[in-house]
Amino acid sequence: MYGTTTDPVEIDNDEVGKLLQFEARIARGEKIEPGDWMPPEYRRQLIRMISQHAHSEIVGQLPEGAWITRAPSLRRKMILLAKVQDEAGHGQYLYHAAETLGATREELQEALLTGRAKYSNIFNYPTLSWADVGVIGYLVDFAAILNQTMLAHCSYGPYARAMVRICMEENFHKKQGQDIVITLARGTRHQKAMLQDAINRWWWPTLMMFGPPDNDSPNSAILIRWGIKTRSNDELRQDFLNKIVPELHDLGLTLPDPELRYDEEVGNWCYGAIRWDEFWQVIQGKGPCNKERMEARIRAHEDGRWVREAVEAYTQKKWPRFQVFVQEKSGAPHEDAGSVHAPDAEMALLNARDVFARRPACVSMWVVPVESIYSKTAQELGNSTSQRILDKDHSGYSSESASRESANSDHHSESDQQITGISTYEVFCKVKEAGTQTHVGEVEASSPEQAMERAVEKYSQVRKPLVWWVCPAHVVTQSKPDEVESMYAPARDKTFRMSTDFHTVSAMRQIRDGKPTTKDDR
Amino acid sequence: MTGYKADSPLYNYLLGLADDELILGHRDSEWCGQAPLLEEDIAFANLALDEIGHASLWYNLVAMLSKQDPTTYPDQLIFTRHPEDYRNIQIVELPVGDWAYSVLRQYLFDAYELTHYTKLMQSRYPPMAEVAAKIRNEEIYHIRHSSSWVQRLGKGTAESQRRMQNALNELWPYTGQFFQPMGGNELLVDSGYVPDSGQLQLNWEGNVVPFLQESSLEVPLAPRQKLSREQHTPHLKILLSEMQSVARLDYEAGW
Amino acid sequence: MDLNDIWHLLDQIKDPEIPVVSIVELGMVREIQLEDQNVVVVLAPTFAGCPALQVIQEEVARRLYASGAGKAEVRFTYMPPWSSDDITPQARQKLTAIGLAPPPKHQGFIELALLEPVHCPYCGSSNTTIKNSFGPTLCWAIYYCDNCHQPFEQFKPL
Repeated sequence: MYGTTTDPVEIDNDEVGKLLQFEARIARGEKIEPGDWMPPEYRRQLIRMISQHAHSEIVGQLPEGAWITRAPSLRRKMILLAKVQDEAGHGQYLYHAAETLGATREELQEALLTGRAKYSNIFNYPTLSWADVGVIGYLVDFAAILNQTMLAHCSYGPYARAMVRICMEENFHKKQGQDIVITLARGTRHQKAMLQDAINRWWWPTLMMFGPPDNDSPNSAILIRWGIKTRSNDELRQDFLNKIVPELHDLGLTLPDPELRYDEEVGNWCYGAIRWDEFWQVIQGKGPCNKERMEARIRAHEDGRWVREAVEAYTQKKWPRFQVFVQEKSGAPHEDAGSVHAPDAEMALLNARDVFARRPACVSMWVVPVESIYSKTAQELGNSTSQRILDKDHSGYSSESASRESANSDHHSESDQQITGISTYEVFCKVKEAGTQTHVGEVEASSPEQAMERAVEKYSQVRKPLVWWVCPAHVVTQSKPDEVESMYAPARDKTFRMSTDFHTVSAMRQIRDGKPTTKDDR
Repeated sequence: MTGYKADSPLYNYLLGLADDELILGHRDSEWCGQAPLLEEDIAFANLALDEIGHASLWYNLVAMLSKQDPTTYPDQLIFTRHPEDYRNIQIVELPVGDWAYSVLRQYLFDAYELTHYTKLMQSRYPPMAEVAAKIRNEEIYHIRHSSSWVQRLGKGTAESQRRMQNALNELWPYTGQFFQPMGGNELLVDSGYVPDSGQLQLNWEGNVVPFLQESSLEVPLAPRQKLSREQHTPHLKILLSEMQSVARLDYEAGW
Repeated sequence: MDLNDIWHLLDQIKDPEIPVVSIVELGMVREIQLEDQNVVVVLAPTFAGCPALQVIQEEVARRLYASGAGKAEVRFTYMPPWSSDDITPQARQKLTAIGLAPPPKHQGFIELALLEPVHCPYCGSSNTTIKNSFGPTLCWAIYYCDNCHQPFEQFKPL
């Protein structure tokens, strides 16, 4: 079922039934949409492919982008700029397509920058001359288009549709690349030599773009079975050769393959042995430009850190952050689910519903302005040091600015200085490092500090909580009971976000014990 | 007016417009693949392409005016002229600096373009009015983008504000040049071909100064430099040597 | 060759970046002048920096010559500038059919048009979020539909 075995190990009957139905849908040519049931491995493969594609588009800006400033005519400059815009735009679009499967941009970006995620090998080669720009546009884009045209028939709806869109735009760029190649091929002796040199360097890497030969691609079988790929690597590679070799010969170009010849009988251009060891070296990071490409992306990311922090800080000021507590079922306590930005509490509830209530298990929600939450760790309580205002950073961006703010600012926000007399405070605590702040009850107090003292007194039992939060009850905005049906009902249909759709331990073990998937499947 | 020759006031004016857009577009393109956010890789590629497209429109007018072939004259102007023959203002040739510097420079220039082209749309010289109208529409997206960055960075964190203020201190002296016309400009103003610079300056300051202040920035008091479009910083030479490097391999060849 | 023939011919020329709509449907064709068999076609470019302009220009001339024009000239005009309001209703439908949201009518008030909710071309919902006012080409902005969970592009109002 997964990999090459056919025995369903440790999968319950319900899952078997769903899988058969799923495969039947694919066999009928139906599209799988966000929210439909899908096997965890399908989701995983798609996220891998889509994100790899997105990363390729983004890293792909670099080799060509380097020549925009040197493009030799106004028209070429504009077309190359349009191409780079196109690539970056497609990258962003594909990241959003990966989001439909539950992957976040931050996760994907981190995977790229830490080297865990791959991008198309071809971008690990340097662009040494203007001719390289034409060759990439012509050969590499053509190869990409063949691959993408195939993927336009992919079983996953959003990815298939993205491919249709991307192909439309990329066809144009391939023609422009071809135009540069033709211009150089018909140009001066020097231009022809520049072009031939570029072809010599890019020919084999382009052939390798289609991935390892079919019998050396571990993922191919499952990808084809599930309609993620509809043609094999070798098929696509052959198609590419058959189309492009005559065109290049017509331009008077030679190809660096002494064994290249046309076989009349099968109607194919036959080619020499591809140096796959070079391919694996490059994939593993030892290519001529791997380091440079990653350094450029990492540098852009690092140098941009202060920018992203500023954006987050500004958004926070205009759209304050609200902590969100979710009650999964009647009788259960509300638990911290994360935070959202919104101009006010009502909007925060709406945003929170979109972000956190996708799981059907949510009957009630609370939102609390983040600056109204007072927190103390067990350690601080022990040392009797002063309280700190809670300002956890959930955005994935650096929390430097946040901690700077909390270090500089004094404890109380303006709203709480208006509190006089006794009022009710809600109490939350977290007992395990990996746990979440859970609502335990209320106390009456005349100040946050007093509320904290009383909370600790009242709720410190056998288990010692690690972190305590208190906030005035009046700053808590609750979802209305009758809103439950309408607000959360849609989430019931969206099963793709349920934890059962992600990897079960048994499925993971199965995959791990089957064929290893450390190599790129293409 | 008839019988145009190179260096006539109208020719210089148009060339200045074209060179401004080209050089700024070139600077914008340097951010491709290097921006702090993927969204901005896209945005700056878009901006660069827009600017260069605008440059192309002005270069075509220059060609028309000098009765040259519009399919070859612009490239000639762009790829064979030496720095001293370029007629752009200095602010656009300054290097990209950090993100704050680039978005602020973009904002100051976008605000100038909007003010300028809104008036230029009423030019009595129809070809100029047409191009100005086209460009002005696209500027709406530019100013939305650059002004929102100025606001976010000006009011964001202490660090972003510091960087923005540094950028403003460095760039402000160059903004006077937006409103310093070249010789013979009075002729163009009198003919109703181009707007009066003094008026443009008042408009621009009326928009830009309050906006910078709202973005928590202090507008420098130092007087702005008197600069000539015939003089350039050393940065232009470096920029052009890169820009023209491939074309220079063979000027006779087609690329 | 008469004027009708030429309009029909131009309607076969698709935008290189959006090959489902023709330059006629995009509202780019402003005027056709026909004298004997000499043709002048006046086009209004969508965006000044559009990389496809020259390609479109060459394609128009090529097809005119192939259809027997004695002389074929293609000119660009910016008076008045092209507006996304010029996109025909048929083109709008074709865009929606392939998952592209057409631009709202703005009648010159582009800033106001930018405030209108954008409908997802897949499910019709207005529960959409703008992700980038710049997209893969000059004409697209990138949106995400929070209802059916798909990204899509919108033709920017201009």
